[in-house]
Amino acid sequence: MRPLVFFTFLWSIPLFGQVVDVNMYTQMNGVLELPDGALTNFWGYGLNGGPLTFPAPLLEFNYGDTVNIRVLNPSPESHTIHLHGLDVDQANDGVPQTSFFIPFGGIGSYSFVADEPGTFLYHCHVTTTLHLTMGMYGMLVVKYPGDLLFQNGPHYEEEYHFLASDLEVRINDEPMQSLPFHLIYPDHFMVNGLAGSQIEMDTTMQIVAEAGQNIALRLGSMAYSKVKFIFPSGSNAMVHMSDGRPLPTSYLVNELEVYPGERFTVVMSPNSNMQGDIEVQYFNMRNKEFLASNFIPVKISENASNTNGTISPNPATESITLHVTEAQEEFSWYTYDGKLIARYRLPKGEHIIDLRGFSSGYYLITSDLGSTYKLVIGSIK
Amino acid sequence: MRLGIYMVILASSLLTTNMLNALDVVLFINKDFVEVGAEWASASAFNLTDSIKMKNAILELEPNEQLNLSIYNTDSLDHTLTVNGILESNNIIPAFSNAQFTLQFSGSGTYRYYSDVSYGKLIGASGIILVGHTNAKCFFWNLFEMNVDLSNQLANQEVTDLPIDFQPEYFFINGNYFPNTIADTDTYVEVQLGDTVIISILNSGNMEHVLHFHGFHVEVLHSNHYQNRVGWIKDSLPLDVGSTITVQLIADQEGIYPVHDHNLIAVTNAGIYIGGMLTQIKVLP
Repeated sequence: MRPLVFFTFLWSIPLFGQVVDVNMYTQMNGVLELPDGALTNFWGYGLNGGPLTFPAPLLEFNYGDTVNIRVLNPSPESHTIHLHGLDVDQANDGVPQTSFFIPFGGIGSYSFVADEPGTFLYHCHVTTTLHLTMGMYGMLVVKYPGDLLFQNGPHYEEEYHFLASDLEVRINDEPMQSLPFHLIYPDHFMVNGLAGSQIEMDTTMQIVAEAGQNIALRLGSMAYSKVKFIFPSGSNAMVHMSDGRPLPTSYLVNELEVYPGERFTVVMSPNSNMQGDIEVQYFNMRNKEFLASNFIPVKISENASNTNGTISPNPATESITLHVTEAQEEFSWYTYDGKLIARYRLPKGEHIIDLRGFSSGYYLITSDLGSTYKLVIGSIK
Repeated sequence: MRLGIYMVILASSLLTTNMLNALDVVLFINKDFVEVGAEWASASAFNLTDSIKMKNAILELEPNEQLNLSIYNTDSLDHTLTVNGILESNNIIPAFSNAQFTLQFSGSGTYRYYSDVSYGKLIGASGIILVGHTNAKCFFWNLFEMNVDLSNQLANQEVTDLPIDFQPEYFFINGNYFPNTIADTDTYVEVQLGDTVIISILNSGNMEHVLHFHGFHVEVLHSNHYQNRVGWIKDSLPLDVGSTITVQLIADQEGIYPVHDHNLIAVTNAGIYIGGMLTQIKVLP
């Protein structure tokens, strides 16, 4: 299982302020594997044509987009989507008592304009205490152009999403025996649905970057515990945003508490090589008792990018060939000053990209598989 | 007889501002049984009469005003009037007696007053003093949670502290849990489109909470726990034990929007969803 399944609506040239339609579904038959190999149940969301994921798929939109989310509910209970932090109107708020719910077999639609860049969440708001501990939540990001966090905000070269959460295995094993809800005591603690050794073994959970790069961390919590992120020494972690809004003054942190429902955007700017972890601690909110830790690996090196020659030639003039060795790979194309100008999602094979129309100069191409290419275009005819 | 004397004083001085920029207030600290769910639970509170209500009295004044408090203790045990940083000593209110206090506040914000004894603050004797917004439309959310058996033991001094496995069953805003929160005009935020209002929040409880706003972000005007967060625009507000926060809400869209604890065990009543720390913002056209 891949955490926080990347979902982009941009298949070629990125455009901001577009109408974006998303089709999703709910289900209550997910199976979650725990680090010891045991299995438990989860309920959640999936994108049409895709798997049910834990947590729900990462939804990414561009600043200014008009978003229409259509949700089919073939599961045996009612569900909703609450767009947490997006300040949508009452009709789209996803609270069954004041908005609407999607009954078994029904379809619901939610619409909003992504008018604030930042990090948000979405989750079911039906019998919320139960449906969230069962897993019906995900992260939603509104991206500002040019890989800036917000207008005139910091630029970043790398971006990671970490959604902390927890559950009590007893309840997920037997959700019909979950009452009384005030006695929920989480005993399984996750980041992006993974725990303990699962995080270490998943390469998408590893922060890999070069010294000198800005690494944006979009942090959120859907836990029943208080979460604390502890950043490694030398990471120069600076908090720039909370709850989808820029802070009046950014500030450096060694550790950051994130309560249930909160979000923070932190930019790490390590100046030199380092290897360590972001420790994610969980605390019982009844008595502040420490419960557990997870560790997100951080590896900063002088040349962390994969320049293995899968773009050729480089420098280039009229065209380049992208060599895709995986089933598919998405490439994001940036100008030297960080402006995103194109995206390509390509299947396995060789693909020729026509460079006519591109100005001469220096470009950065990043891959969703972790590679970074520095491309020079010269003598364009 | 005692009640009659109290009521005369109350009628002459309750929540009135005199020409010397002083606010004279008479309060009663009560400890008695209250009905919680289908149970009777011991609670303590600062009230405007000698009849217990879980909702503590709300006090509002300006920074240049002097607060003159006369407090009658109807309990058989001594209590205190404590305001951290302002009144922490010589603050006993003897059993079945009264005491007078004069308080001054240096700046705007939400302050907590409470009885610093286990049979006081741990069972609800803790209220809000809002300084600096008397000309604004204000709402007040005083958070508290309760385990009924534990409250009875604390009231009787069978125990004098919280157990490590504190297990609250009920979660209150101003002494009410949802849906009763909707009936309290300090808790239910009913405003007109375009209004700017102040919400004064105190966590009088014994565990951490985090309030999430639907439909709105609010601006933090004052926080005693997160002092670097003044000016932040938030939709989810952490509240550590004893912490206060004052926020400004601009009602810029019509409709009804919940505000609730996002520690979701706290939106229940005795473990049943939906209830607890949940209120609403209603914005009229």
